[in-house]
Amino acid sequence: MSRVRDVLASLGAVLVGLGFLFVVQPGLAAVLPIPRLALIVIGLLAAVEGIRSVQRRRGSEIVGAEPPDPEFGIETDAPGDDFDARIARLSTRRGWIGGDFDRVENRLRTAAITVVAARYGLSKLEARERIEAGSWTEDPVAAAFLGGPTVPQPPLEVRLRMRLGTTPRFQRYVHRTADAIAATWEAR
Amino acid sequence: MTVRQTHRWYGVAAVAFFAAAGGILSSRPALLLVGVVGVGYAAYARLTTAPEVSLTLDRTVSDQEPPPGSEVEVTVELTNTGDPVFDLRVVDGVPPGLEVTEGSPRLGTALRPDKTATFSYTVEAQRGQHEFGAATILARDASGAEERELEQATETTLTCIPSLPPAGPSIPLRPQTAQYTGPVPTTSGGAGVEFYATREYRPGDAMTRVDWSRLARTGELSTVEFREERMATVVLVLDARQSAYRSDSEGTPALEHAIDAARSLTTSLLGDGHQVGIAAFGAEPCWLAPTTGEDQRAAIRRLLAIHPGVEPTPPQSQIVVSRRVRQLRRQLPANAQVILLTPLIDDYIATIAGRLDAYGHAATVLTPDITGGETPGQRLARTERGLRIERLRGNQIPVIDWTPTDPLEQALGILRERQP
Repeated sequence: MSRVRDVLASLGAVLVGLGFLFVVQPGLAAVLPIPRLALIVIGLLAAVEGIRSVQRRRGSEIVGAEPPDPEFGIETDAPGDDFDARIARLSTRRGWIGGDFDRVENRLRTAAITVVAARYGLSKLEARERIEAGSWTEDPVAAAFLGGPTVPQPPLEVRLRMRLGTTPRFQRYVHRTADAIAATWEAR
Repeated sequence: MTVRQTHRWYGVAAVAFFAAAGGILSSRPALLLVGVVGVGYAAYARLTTAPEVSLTLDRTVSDQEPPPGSEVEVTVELTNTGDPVFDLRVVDGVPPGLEVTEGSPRLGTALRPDKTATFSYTVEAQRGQHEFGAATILARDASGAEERELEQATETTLTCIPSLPPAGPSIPLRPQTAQYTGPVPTTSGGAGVEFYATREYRPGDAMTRVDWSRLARTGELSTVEFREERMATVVLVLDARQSAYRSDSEGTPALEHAIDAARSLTTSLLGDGHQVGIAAFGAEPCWLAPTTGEDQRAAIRRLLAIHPGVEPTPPQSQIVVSRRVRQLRRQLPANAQVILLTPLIDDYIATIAGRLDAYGHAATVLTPDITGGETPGQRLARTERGLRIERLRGNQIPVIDWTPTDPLEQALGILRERQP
């Protein structure tokens, strides 16, 4: 294989050399009787090879090694960063994607029940009822997120602002609920 | 070794062929010449191959057993024992537990045969046994059309074993103890120094313990009992699951704080004459049976620094904690109490603390607080940790909530005040 390649490479080099000679001494070219038709064929062949090269380039990426970055040692998340990342990944402007929604809601609800029970000295059942009624927090967004069907939607102005903002709506609901839970816990 | 085509000349070939075709078909020699030059480049890229690489790598460190926090200079020498290499790139295999503080572990150079290239960088020593990985080497031909990637290994190990502090704050232990006399008060009366109760005289009681003043006053013969004081058997259990490698706002993993606390407690507990052992829920089973003495102190010091169960880097595979707990239960002496050191990031570890306590190993939880308050997720995690602490305390398990920026003594003082 490499022998064939060497022969072809040598042939190519000789032809290129010859070409340069003709550029310097155009008179010599007259010695070779190349008909116009043959030139057109060679030109078309070059064009076809050009198209093939474009196709090949389109079908392939420039590749290269990806050496490691060993300078920085281990970098780990702070507690809760995984939650933020998951919420950011799953809530898009079109709505909630993926089936993780129940898990997130359950986690928030469980935390809310325990926090409300501890804060107001209630039983778990009473705390659950208070959350269902939406009266556990002053934040209408958090109250609506965990509350039952009787809890009113947040005021129109708040909803409009959430719709127009850059943060996806679900993300805002989750964030405000998480913050309401944390605020209730700190205020105990 | 990997050899790969980089495909970086494909576009040039297309341009060259189009120029040549245009030059021929329109009879313009200048355009044809442009094409020929381009074809020349493409042909060169096609014809050359990445060089065979033959290198030797030599790595030296300024101190193989440095103290923690000290700077260690790493020098790498690369000698070409083969053909010339026009484009050589090297990235050294710095261990993941170490951080480069000065210089760069990378080198880009051309290297003639029998020549040596040297580069050096500085890392900060951290506890642990750090093995350097293989250096990644990339060699390309002059056109860059083909590259060769290989790894060159040489064994280098850096071992950093921090010493235990000379003094540590004492931790209030639970009243459950071994049979040897020692400083932990029990809830049973017997021989000791502190008055506990009086009871009716039984034949055989020592004359020195007869309550003579009571005999004089009432004529009844009674015996004084003192609070028995015994030596405790304490096992410090480190939570070294993935979640214990979460870090605080400074970037320090919770496990490092837990290990710091374990070092201080080892000093104070051994100093008070207790038997101390170590266990960990980590990548590898980790157990050091409780005993006393200088040898134990040295063994704990070593274990806390380099045991694979408490490595400075997070475990790669999932740990089956229930298996570790079962193992621990088999290993724990019947009268041992446990101090569980955990950041309390999840409910499961809180459940385990409760379970160990229920099995009769009086449990105390020491939890470094690494939670932050910058994002809603962090605030939620902080709240959930607070709830876990409340739940444990509700179940009569003492919890030491320690903010690592404060001295451990302060958190232990708060626990002492809470206890009756």
